[in-house]
Amino acid sequence: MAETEGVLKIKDLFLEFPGNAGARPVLQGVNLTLREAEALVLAGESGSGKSITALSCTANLPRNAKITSGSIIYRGQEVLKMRKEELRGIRGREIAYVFQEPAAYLNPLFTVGSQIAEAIIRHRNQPLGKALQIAEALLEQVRIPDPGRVLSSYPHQLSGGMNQRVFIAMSLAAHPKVLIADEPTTSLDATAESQILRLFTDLMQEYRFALLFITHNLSIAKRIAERVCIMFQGRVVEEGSWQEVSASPRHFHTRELMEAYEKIGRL
Amino acid sequence: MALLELKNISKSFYLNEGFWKGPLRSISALKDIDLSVEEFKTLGVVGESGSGKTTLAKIMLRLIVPTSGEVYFDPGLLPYFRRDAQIIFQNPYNSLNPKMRIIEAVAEPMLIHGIAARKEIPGRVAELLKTCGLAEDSLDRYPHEFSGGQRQRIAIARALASRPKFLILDEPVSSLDLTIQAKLVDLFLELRDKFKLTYVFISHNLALIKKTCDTVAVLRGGLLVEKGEACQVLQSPRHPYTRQLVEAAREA
Repeated sequence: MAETEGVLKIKDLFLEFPGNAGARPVLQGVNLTLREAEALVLAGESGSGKSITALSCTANLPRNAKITSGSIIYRGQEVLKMRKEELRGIRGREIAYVFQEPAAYLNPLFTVGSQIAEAIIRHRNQPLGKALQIAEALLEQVRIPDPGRVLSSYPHQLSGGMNQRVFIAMSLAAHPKVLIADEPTTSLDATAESQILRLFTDLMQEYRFALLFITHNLSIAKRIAERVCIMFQGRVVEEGSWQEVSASPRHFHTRELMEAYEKIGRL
Repeated sequence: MALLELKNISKSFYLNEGFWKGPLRSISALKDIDLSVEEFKTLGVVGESGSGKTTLAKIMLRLIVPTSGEVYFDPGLLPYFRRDAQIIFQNPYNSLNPKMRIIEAVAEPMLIHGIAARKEIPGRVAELLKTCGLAEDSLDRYPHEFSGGQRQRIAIARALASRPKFLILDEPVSSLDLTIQAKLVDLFLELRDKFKLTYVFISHNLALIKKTCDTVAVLRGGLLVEKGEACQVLQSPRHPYTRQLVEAAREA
């Protein structure tokens, strides 16, 4: 079936935010296919609709957002027609997220270990003791030194890079098929950024998930992606491998992104 | 000529963990920093998060007082220190008062330092906003009506309102898109020439530092591990930590 060639397929997605002054269109016909176990970078300026596209994949949208038409197929199933219970079954379990600011998504009142364990208990039906063991193993896999100590630390005791690793460990807890990373390195410094990027590449080998990586920085595409999609004003305006896109950008926004990258994105 | 000179600056912060936890613990944020800021030059300060970059900026402006060491400034070059030295922060969402219209925010330093009379204000502010690349109808709007990049332009206009000679840019673009960053960097360079400014540019992006700075200081864990001409340090770093940073930046 041509329909199911990708693990996640977005077709002609239109989305708007209704308002008093008329509806504000945010997505205007997004087409995007994420293939099994590939790394795809979705790049564009802020406000181009990248994050909303990402959230649409599990129908996990702000309450006032309205999808007017289009479809999202996850492994042959229409996400937009799923019932609440079905959505709960794929959110975090099949399609997991990593966001920009890990500290904002980690609960400051609980230890890192108990938060990872919670995801394991929920998605893999393990008792607490076993879940904590798995959590420690996960922390080791995201290359956290001294995972035992980190397990009993609170988020504020860890650096931004460490918290991001914790967040990644948590999202891998259920062995998802798709990992959507929304600007996961933007708040990190350059060294932490390259470590996290390398970690993503390694983890893809081990866990065989497909990665949708959202960014405004094309250097990410160069470093991790097999394919790049450029988004502008609610549409995917260009698509191709890094070599194709960087050698001959066709859309003016791609050119803009390339110029910024050439100028201040690399040494 | 040195505009500002830091001699042997150290800064410790004290952690009060409560009476029962025993004596106060101290954390050393900066240790024995010697650094000078030359007039009309741009000094870059790089380092990972937590290395003491912002603490250094605050000490330069005497927003906080160092634990030991001295900061000298040239009173001939910066006669009215609070007026002549300004800072732009990373996050334009926090650094502008949400209840002040743009005209009020930008006019405030002008009025405080007696730079413009009240009736000249609208004209002066409009001109400054235009210099910073903002539309003329921005005057009566509020910060929330602007995007991150525009907000940072407002913060720049406000910092320039007192006609400073010395400007500290503390990660001024790192919360913005790369395309917007590139545009703001051009603006900073343009303003530097136009107003004859001396910058301290704090960033963890080495490519940005290379684009803007004459000299660079590398901080790590509160220690100054390397300083020198920007092109030289970035081309052939001597300290292993600097080398690591340069490698990370070249990978990009």
